[in-house]
Amino acid sequence: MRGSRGRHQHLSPVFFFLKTFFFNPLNNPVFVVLFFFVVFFYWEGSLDKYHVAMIMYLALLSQYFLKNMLQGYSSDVEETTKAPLIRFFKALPITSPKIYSSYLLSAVVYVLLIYVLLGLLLLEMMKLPDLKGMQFIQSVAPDGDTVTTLTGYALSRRGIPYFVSLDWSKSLLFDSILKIGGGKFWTSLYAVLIFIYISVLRIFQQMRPKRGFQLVILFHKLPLGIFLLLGLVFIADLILTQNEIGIYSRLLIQSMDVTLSLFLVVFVATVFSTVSMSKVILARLKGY
Amino acid sequence: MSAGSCARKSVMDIEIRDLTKKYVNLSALRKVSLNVSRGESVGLVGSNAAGKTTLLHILMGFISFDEGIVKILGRSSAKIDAITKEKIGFVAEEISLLPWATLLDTAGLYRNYYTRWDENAFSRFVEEWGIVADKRLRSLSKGQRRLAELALCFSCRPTITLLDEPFIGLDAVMRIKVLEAMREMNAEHGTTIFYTSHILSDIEKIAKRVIIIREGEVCFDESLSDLESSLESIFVRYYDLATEEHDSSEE
Repeated sequence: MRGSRGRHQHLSPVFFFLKTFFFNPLNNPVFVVLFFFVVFFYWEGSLDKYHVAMIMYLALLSQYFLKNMLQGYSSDVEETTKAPLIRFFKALPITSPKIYSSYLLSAVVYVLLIYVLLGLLLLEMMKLPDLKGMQFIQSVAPDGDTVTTLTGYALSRRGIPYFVSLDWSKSLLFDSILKIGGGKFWTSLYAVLIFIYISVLRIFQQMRPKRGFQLVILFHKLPLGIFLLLGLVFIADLILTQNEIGIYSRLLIQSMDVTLSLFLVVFVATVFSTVSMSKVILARLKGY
Repeated sequence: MSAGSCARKSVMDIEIRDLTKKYVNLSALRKVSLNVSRGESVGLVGSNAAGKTTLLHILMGFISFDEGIVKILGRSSAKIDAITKEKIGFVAEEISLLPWATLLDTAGLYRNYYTRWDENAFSRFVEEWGIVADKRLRSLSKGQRRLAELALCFSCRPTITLLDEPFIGLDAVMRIKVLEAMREMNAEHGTTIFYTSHILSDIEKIAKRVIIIREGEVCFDESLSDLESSLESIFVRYYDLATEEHDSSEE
C-alpha cells in the first residue's frame, strides 16, 4: 500500500492529536472516567450538586493531567535538549503553520466536547424532577426574608427514589419569570457561554497573536465588564434598600447556591487550565 | 582525487561549499566542502564535537549557518519545502518520536505525508525486527524506539537518508539486521545514504566512501575501496596527528 499525500494530510495531524493525546484512554484516563460518569448520570437522571461538582473536578483534572504529562516528557534526561513535539515534527514534510493550526483545532474540539458534556449535565440538573410526597417548609432567614423550601422525592430512571430539596425564595419582581431553578439556569447558561467564549478566544489568540489580542480587547473585557456592572448594581441595591436585602441581591443569593458556586469555581479553573495547557503545547510548537 | 570529485558530474543529492558554522565561542564547521551523488553510501566519522551532528542538522534546515552554500536534492537547505522533505529520511541521534503515541499511530500519520510510503516494507520491518507496534513508545526500550524510528524512516522510501548515529542502543543482532536493511535500500532502491557512526566497522560494512571530520574540518574523503590501510588505522593517524599539531602549537 502506498501513502496518500493530499487526501487526508490537512486533517491527519488533527486526528492524530485527538486520537493519541486528548482522547487516548492511556494518556488521558481522566477523560474516560469523566465521560462514563456523565453518560451514567445523564441516563440515570438522579444528578445532584455533588455529582456535578465531581464531574467538574474531573474535567479540570483531565486537563491538568495532559499538561503535566507534556511537562513530564520534557524533563526526561534524554530529552532535555528539545521538546519531543518540536523534534518530531521538524523532520516531517509538514509546514509549521499547518501543524500549528492542527493542534489548535484539536484543542478546540477537545475543549468544546468537554463543555458540551458539562452543558448537558447542567441542563439535566436544571430540570424540575417529578416530585412525589411534596412538602413546602417555610422558614425565616436571618435577614428577615421568608424562604420556602420544597422537599420530596423523585424516581431515577431505574426506579430508585432519591431525596430532593429546592429553595423557593420569594422575589417581588421576578416571581413571574423565575420558576424553581430558573435563576440557576440563566446564570449558569450565561457563565457557560462566557467561558466557552473566553477559552476559544484565548486559543485563537495563540494562533494569531495580534488579531487575537484585538478580539480579546473587544470581547474578553465585555463579559468581565458585565460581571462588574452586575456587582455594582447589587451593591447599589443593598445600599438603597438599607435594612432589607434588595431584590437584585436576593436574586444573586438565590442563584449562587453551593452548586453554582462550585460550578463557577471549577469552571473558571478548567478554563485557566485549558489555556495553560495550550500555552505549554504551543510554546513547544513555536520552536518548530 | 577524492571520491567526491569523481562523482561531480552525476546527480548531486548533497552539495556543500565552504560551509562555516560558528557557535558563540566555537567554530563548529570550518570551510567544509563536499558532494554526495545519487545512490552513494557515505559514512561520516569523527570524534565527539567534531561537527557531524551540526552538519546533518544544517542539511535538514534545522539550524542556520554563517557562510557557504548547502544544497540537498538541489534545494538550499534553508528553504526545503514539504515536497523535498518528503524525499528525505532523517533519524536524529536523540529519539524524536512522540512518546505518548504508538508506532502504528505514528505510521498512520507518516502514511498521509509520504507518497512513497511502503506499507509492506513497514510490516516487514515490524515483524523482522520484533518491534512492539501497538504500545506507547514511552513504554518501549531505547533499542525498540530506535528501531521504530528506523522502520518509519526506511518505509518512507526516501531518495536520501541522513542517519545520525543510527545504531545507538541496538544490540549486535539488531545492528546486523539494520545494516542489512540499509545495504538493501542502497542497492535495490538506489537510496543515497549519508550516516554517522562512532563504530568504524559499521562504516566499513555499508559505506563505499568515508569522510573523516576533525574539529569542524573535512580532513579525509576517500572511497573505501581505494584505502591502502584499514579505516581504523587511518582514523587513529588523523587523530594522533591532531594531537601532535596541538602539542607543537603549544610549544
